[in-house]
Amino acid sequence: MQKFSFNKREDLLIPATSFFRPIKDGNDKPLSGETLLKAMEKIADKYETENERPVPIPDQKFLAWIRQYNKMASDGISSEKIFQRTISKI
Amino acid sequence: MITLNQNEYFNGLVNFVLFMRLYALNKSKKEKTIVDVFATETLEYGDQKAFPFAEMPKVEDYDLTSSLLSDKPIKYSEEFIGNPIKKKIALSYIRPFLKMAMMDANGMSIFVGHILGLMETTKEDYLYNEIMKDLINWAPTNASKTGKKLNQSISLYTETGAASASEVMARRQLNQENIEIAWQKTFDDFSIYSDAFLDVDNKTDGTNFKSGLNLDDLIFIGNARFLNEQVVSLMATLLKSDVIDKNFRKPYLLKVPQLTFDNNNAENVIGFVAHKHWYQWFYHFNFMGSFFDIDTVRTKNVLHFWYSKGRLKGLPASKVTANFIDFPSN
Repeated sequence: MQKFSFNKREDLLIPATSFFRPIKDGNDKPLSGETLLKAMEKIADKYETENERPVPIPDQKFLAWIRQYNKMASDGISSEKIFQRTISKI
Repeated sequence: MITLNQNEYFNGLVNFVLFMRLYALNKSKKEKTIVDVFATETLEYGDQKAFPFAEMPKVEDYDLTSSLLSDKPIKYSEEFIGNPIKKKIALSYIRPFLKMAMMDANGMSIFVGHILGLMETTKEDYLYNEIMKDLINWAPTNASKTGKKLNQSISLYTETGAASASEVMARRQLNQENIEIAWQKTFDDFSIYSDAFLDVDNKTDGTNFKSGLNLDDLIFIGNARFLNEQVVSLMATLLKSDVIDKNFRKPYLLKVPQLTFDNNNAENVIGFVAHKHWYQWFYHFNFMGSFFDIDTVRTKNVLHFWYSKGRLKGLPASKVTANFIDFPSN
């Protein structure tokens, strides 16, 4: 099969599939990928504070990654750069 | 720095979204799917939910002789929902093969996300069919007892023998009015205390179990075949009252596609009127994991979901079916 390569790579934050039905905010607007990742950190923090135990998913490394993502985003690094640096393509 | 490979990222994302749905932490307003409507809280520990209910005490005449020390027990009953059904959905893919079919990493990410999303879609499709099968095939034990309205039948006219288009329209109009009247009557009957809609036998058991409903506890589940605009707007007109304003919560109307009823050999079922928790299901456990086989370079994803489902006899419900008859000839 013929292969093409592109100079600019765009990383997909949240896949556009039927599973990920857009989660909406209080004004009924779908949350963007970045906002969703921020919301996930808040949800995780809230759950852990209220229940005094970690979020019950096996992917604890993913939770640490979300916190790292939000820290890097608040330091001014773009989401594309964060994905390039922290998600390996293998 | 924490780095994830794409599989770890997607699995983490999927499991977190499942967690959010499971624990209802997402407070945003989104359209409820039919499956969501009947879902109740996840049962994390234990394998059953218990639902106690009690009979109504009796009204007596005033008596000068004191009966203070006499015992007036009332009967209780308990129902349980919880017989965990354990299911899993597995799919595997070989990344290097997929990469050969893609033009770039973007296409690859989209496709992997798509197939992982398909697993969740498969689960929703399965749950939808199981729930609708349960609802449509409901056969209450006490339906034939005197005074029961668990199964109701509405006579509707066929179009056989109609001599003109206007006659066909007139019969359709009549049928629609009959359906509206039946819905209205059932809705009114639900609001008073009665055992007509409970699948219990008070006479034989010597009990006095009854129920009455508030508007916001009601749910209408309708076959799309019989739900045209007039019937849907009936739901709005039902609440025309000085007391009730636009903020008052209305009964929930769930319109189910006709195809679902047809596929379950229930073409003539008009629908159900029931307490919103009369039928319910809940998760025990919901989890997606993946495994990478270094021998075959294959990634296998498995979505597990364990759930229980059931109906409650202590809550009222009624099934409404159409009985087609020929229009009486002159």
